[in-house]
Amino acid sequence: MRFSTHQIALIALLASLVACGAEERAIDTAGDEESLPTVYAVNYPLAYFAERIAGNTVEVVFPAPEDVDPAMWVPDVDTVARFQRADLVLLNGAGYAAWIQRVTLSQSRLVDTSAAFADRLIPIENDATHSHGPAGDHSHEGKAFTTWLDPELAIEHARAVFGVLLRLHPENEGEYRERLAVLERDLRDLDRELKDVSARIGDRRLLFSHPVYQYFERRYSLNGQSLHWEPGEMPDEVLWRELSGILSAHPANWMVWEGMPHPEAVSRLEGLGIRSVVFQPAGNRTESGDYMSVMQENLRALQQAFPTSAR
Amino acid sequence: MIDIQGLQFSYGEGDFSLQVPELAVANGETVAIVGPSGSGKTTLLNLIAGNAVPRSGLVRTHGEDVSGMHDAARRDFRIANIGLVFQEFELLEYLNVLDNILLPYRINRTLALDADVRRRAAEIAQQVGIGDKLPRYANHLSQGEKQRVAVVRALVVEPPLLLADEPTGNLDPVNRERVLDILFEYVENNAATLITVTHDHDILQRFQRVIDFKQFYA
Amino acid sequence: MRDVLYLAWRYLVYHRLKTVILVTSITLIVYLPVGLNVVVEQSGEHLTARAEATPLLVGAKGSPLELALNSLYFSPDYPELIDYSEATAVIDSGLATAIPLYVRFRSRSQPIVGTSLDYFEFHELAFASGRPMAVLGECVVGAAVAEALGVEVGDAVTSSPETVFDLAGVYPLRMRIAGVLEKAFTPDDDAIFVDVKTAWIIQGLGHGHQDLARPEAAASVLDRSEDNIVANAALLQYNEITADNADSFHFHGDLAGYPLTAVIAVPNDEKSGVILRGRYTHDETMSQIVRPVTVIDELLDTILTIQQFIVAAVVIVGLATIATAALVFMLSLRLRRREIDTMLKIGGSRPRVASILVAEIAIVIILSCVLATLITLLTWRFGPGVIESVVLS
Repeated sequence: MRFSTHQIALIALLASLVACGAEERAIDTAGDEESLPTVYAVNYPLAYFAERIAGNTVEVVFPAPEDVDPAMWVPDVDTVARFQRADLVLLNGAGYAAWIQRVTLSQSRLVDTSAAFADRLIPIENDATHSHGPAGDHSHEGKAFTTWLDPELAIEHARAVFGVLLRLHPENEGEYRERLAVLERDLRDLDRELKDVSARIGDRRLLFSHPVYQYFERRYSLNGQSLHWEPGEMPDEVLWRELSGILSAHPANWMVWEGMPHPEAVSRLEGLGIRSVVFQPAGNRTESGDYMSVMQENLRALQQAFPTSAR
Repeated sequence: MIDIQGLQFSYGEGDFSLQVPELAVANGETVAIVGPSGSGKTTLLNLIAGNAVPRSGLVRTHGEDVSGMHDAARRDFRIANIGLVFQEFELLEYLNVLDNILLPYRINRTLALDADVRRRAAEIAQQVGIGDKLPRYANHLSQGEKQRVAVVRALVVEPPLLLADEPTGNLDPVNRERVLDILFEYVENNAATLITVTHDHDILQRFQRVIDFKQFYA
Repeated sequence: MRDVLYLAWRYLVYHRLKTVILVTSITLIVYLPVGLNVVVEQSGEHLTARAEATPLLVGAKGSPLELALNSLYFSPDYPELIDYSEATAVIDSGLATAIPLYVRFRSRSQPIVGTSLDYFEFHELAFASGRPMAVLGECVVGAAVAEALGVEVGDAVTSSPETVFDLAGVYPLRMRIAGVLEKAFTPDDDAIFVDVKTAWIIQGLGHGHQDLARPEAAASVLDRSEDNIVANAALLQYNEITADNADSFHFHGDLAGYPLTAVIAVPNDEKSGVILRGRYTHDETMSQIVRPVTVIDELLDTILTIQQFIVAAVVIVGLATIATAALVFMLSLRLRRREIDTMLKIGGSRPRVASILVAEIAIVIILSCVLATLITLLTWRFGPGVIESVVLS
């Protein structure tokens, strides 16, 4: 049974009055039967933070398919319509999910969870620009966006999520605060352990399969260079030649892959004295586990790869 | 039908005055009144009809003292008992022939307009030869037809007294005879009284009596 | 009574020209002040209701009336533009919800309203079919637009160029209809709604084109350096946003500087509204905040004053008309002296003959009043729409 817009508005208004002082109108204009507010996220980490903090008091939705990179994913019109009906849409910021700029969403329900640290976003260098007309040069990229790989920034994301969840359920402040504290503790523990292992990495030169580790690099002062290699694919000769050029200035011994690499690529790299380790960016859900377990897995991989400090 | 005793009449201004010491007209009599213009012939008809009131004297018409009645009573009496025919026809241009004929029934509630009246009107109109003209506006008729409409208007109430002031004055000889035939036929069939003012001496032989108004004119 | 009315009616019908002139004159005299009042009151109600539904408007300093008329009624004359940052500032204040408006372009005669999704919720606009616009290039049309153009969900409308001769300016953008609104009996029925970013694309501030890095675009490249590609005029720019080319659409520069005609500010509560208004009272601010209901009240006061002048003029003309009609009637009586005498002579009662004359006047007056009532009803039904279109054109 579909509810009319006015019926839903009345229900939502009564719910917010019962919640004693909610000032935001949580109106689901599409007639969703569920009474839980819906919170949509543009990437998995944000969805994870929302789930950790809100528990089952909200319905958290991250609609991107599991086999795509959410940063590149473009939802179809029906999915955009579902985003429109959400009570909150958690944005990563830093230009993540560029499709946001090309769809219509209610401004009052969009939340840029990186707004608090916008001054700490990392600009992307050496990006090709184009120009036409009187406006001059411009490029289509701006900032690195895998901010959640820095646990300190991940905590900032989580705090922003906490803030907006309070708008939906101010009566749950105590419970949300407790859960946030637990999440922050987990992230700090992770950060501490990553610091330990990065100390062991030291100033070893690293290669990254894609430029998605900027915040991780910065946080742990790693010395890395990014390629544009697809995990699971054998790079072509052009890419190998490019690698040779990079190695001449940056003789690295380790390649950090964002996913399981192609075995041939691994063995050829080993022939060049470069070993491989997998560190998943955790931008999307995995078949098993969650953000924290994936990061723990990443941590263990690094610990295994770097059991001792450099020299 | 008509009994006048010691009638004296004058208008408010001017020198005109009318004095009729005695005049009687019997029921069923046809009388023509002749005389010079301005002698008061029409005034006498108005006094008989109750359209004017004498300064003194008695005017009894069809048994009623019309000179002593109030205005409203005289109208009610007149419309039910006296049929008036005028030289200028006096039809209403915005009514058709039938509505002109039925006019007396609409302008005084003494008379009730019903189906019998309508039928009688149509029959009389047919008899006088204007039965097919009923829907036409009066000003679309010839002079003779107009006067016949006026005559039918006077006859439709079945008055015992007909007063006609120069009824043939504007008609050609054919229509003159036709109108007179209608009047005299009605008088004969209904034992009615007819008093006509006329300048036309050719028609006088049709009347039982001719009154020369010189005798009353001062 | 029936005979009286019959004779009176026959007279009026026979003299139909005179009757029509009299009825028309009296109808106008009766209708003008009444009809004008109906129009002004109804228009006032419509205008006020619309204004009352919009708590605050932020716009460039200048005419508050122009700002209100463009924002609430989508008049063709748009005010000085403000930056999108004004909307952001309202949001960031935490005092109100901000609904951006960019009402500048048109599709033939229908206004294109660039706004956000919040607009539909704010004005409680329901959808007769389809859904709100989801992606750039989609639009939602009001009920009257759909009816006038004979379009439905899946069809398209195209924006009109601002001027014929500005080849480098606003160019037509074909927009797919994603939804049709239910009739709201407001100016929203006559509007085409798009995302404000789509409106910027219509203006040319955003666009989609071939990827200059790809070989197919080689003919459009004017110059290529290591880190920059300059396109030439042959660059193919898209005039419709489709699933195939949507990813190529982009905006240059900071969106904060992009133009709006106004921002609807919906305060969280009365106190927030007062605080928000206080922030715009400083002389150095480039923008103003207005309460539309105040602006419209002033407009209606002006209209009321004009109405009073018009009514006064109509009353004077009316008195002259009545005097003329009375003169016509008296002259007519003189002309009808003989007819009246005839009726009296053959025995017509004075009251009844007088009643016939009075009935003629009464029929004319009643007919006039009935006509004036009918025209007033029509005015009540259609007048406000006519007046609003005149006021807003």
